[in-house]
Amino acid sequence: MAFIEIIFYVFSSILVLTSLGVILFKNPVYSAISLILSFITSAALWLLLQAEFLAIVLILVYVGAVMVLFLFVVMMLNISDVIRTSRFNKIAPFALFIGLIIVGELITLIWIRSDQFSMTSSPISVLDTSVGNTTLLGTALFTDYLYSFEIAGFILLLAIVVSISLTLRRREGLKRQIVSEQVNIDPTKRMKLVDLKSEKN
Amino acid sequence: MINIIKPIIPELTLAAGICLMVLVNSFIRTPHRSTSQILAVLTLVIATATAVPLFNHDVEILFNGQFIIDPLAIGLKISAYVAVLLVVLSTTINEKINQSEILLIELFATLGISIICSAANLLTIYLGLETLALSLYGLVAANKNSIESTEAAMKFFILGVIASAIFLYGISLIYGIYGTLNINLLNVMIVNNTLELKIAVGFILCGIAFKFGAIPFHSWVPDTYQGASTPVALFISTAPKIAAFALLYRLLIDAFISISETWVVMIYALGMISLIIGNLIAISQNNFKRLLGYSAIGHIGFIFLGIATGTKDGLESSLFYLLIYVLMTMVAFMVIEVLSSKHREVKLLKDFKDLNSSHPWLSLIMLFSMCSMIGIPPFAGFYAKWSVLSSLVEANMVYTAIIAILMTVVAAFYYLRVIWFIYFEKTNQEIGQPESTILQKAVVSFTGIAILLIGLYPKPILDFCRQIISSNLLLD
Repeated sequence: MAFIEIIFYVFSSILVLTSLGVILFKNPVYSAISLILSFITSAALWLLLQAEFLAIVLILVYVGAVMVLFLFVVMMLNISDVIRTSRFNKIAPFALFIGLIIVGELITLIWIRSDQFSMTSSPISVLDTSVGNTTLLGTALFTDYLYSFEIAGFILLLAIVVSISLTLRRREGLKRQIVSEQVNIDPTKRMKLVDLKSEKN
Repeated sequence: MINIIKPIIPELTLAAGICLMVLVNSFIRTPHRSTSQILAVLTLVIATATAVPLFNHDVEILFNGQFIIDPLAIGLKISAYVAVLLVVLSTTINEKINQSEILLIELFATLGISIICSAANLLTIYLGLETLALSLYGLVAANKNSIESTEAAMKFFILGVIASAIFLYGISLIYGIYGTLNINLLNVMIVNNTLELKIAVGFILCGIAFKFGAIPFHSWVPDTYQGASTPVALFISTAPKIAAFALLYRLLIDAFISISETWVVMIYALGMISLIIGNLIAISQNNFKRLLGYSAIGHIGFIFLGIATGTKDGLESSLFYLLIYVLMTMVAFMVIEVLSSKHREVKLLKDFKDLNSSHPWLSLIMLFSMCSMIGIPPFAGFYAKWSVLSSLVEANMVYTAIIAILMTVVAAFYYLRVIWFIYFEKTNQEIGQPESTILQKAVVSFTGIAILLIGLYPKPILDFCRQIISSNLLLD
C-alpha cells in the first residue's frame, strides 16, 4: 500500500466519522464543529487530487465564513432546550429514503464510470503537474473571462450598495464619532488639576 | 489598445459614474439629492454621447467572444440611456425615500441593460440579467416605510429568483448539449432540433417572458407597479423592457434562429394569452398604477405577436412598438409623479376626478398618453399598433390580427375611463398644488409632445428600428 493511499484512507475515515458526528451529536455546537472538521478533511482529500485551489476555497469560504456564521446563529439563539427531543423524529424515514436514493445514484455513477473509462491509475497522474491549477484559474479569469470577471465585481458592489441602503436607517440624536474634534483636542485642556485639602486626623 | 477600449466606452462611463457616485455619496454627510442627480444626468449624457458615434461601427466581437458591438446593441443602448435620462430628470426630490441611492441603483440597472444589449455569450447575458434584476429588487424595496412596497419587493424577489434559476437551468442544459456558451458558435452548431434542445429553449424562454412580464409569468407586474414608489415604477416600466427585448433578440434570433419553428409557437401562445387576459383584467382596476401594470401586460402581448410572425417586418414593428410603449407609459407615470406631493400620492382612479379644472396642461398630456395607448391617430401609439397589425396580416395571420383589434377595443374602455374621470367627473376635493419643479414639468411636457410629434412624423423612429433589425445577416 502506497503512502498516499494510507493518507487517503486516514482522511476518508475521519471524514466519514465526522459526517456521522454532524447528525448524531445532540448539541448543535458539537455538530457544527464536526462539520468544520469534515470540511477540512475534504479539503485535504482535494489536496491529494492536486486541486489546491478548491481546497483553499473550501476552507476559506465554508469554514472561514459560512460555518462561523452558523456557529454565531447557533450560539445566539437559545435552542438547546428545543433540540433535546429524540434524534429520530418523523422525518427520519423520509430522510433515509432520500439518502438511499443518493447512495444508489452514486453507486450507479461509479459503476458506469468504471465500465466506460477504465481507471488504470490514480487520477493524480492525469493532471499536468507543471503549473498549479490556481495559476491556471487565475490566468483564465484575468484574460479570457476578464469582461465577465469585471461584471461580477460590479454585481458585488451593487449587492453592498443595495444591502446598506436597505438596512441603514437614519435617525435623530445618533451619537457619532467626530474625528476632527478628536484629533484637534488640546491636551492641556483635557485634564484639570484640582488641589484638595488633605484631611487632618 | 484603444481599439479594444473604444466599443465599451459607454459601459466604462457608466461604471466610472457609479464609482464616483458611491464615493461622493459616502463623503457627503447629509446626502444632497441634487448632487447625485447632477452626477447621474452627467454620466448618462456622456454615455449617450459616446454611444451615438458607435452606431455605424463595424460588427465586432471582443473579449474572447463575450462582447459584441453591432447596430442592435448600440441602438438599444442609446434608447435605454435616453429613457433612463428622462426618468432621472423627472424623479421627484423627496425626503421620504433615499433618493440618492435610488439614482445610484438606477445607474447600476442601466449598466446591466448595457451588458445584456451587447452580450455575445450566455454567461455575460446571465451576469447582465443578474445586475439588472438585483438592482430592480433594491429599487422596489427602497421605500422601506411602506408595507405595500415591502410586500411587492418580496414577491418580486422570490419570483425573480425562481425565474432566474429556471433560465440558468436552460443555459446549463445548452452547455451540457453543445459544450459552449458562445452565441455565435451555438448558432453554427445547432442544426438538429432535438428534444433536449426544445426543453432548454423552453426554460430560457420562461426567463425572457418573466423579464417582459408576459402571462403566465406576470404576477409580479401589477404588484410591483402598485407597491413601488412612483419614480421606481416609472423606471421599472421603461428601461428594463428594452433590456428584455435585447435578451430575447440575443437568445432567440442570434443563437436559436435555426430552430425558430419551436420558439415561435411558444412566443405566439404567450403573446395571445397576455393580450387577452391582460386587457380583460385591466378593466376592473381602480388603482391607476395597477391598471398601468395590466395594460403593460396587454402591450407586451402585442410585442410578442409581432415577434411571432417570424419575419423581419414583424421584428421591426415589435421594436417600434416597444419604443413607443416605453414613451407612452413613461408619460403616464411622469404625470402621476408630478401630481403627487410629499403628503399625498395620486394613485387611485378617483384621484383624477376633475383634474382638468386644476391642471389643464397635465390633463392634456395625460390625454395624449391615454389616446396613444388606445391607438387613436395622430398619436404615436396608432402607428405602433398599425405596423404590428400590418406585419401580422402580411404573415397571413389575419385571425390573430382581428383578435388583436378586438382586444384594442376592450382596452379602449379602461383608457377612456381615465379620460372620463379627468374631464367629466365633478368633485369637491381639490388635488392640491404639487411640489414639482420647473425641470420636471418641462420633461413631462417634452415627452408628452414627443408622443404627438412621433405620431405625426414617425419616419425617423421607424428608420431607426429598420436599420437596427436589417443589419442582422441571420434574418433573411
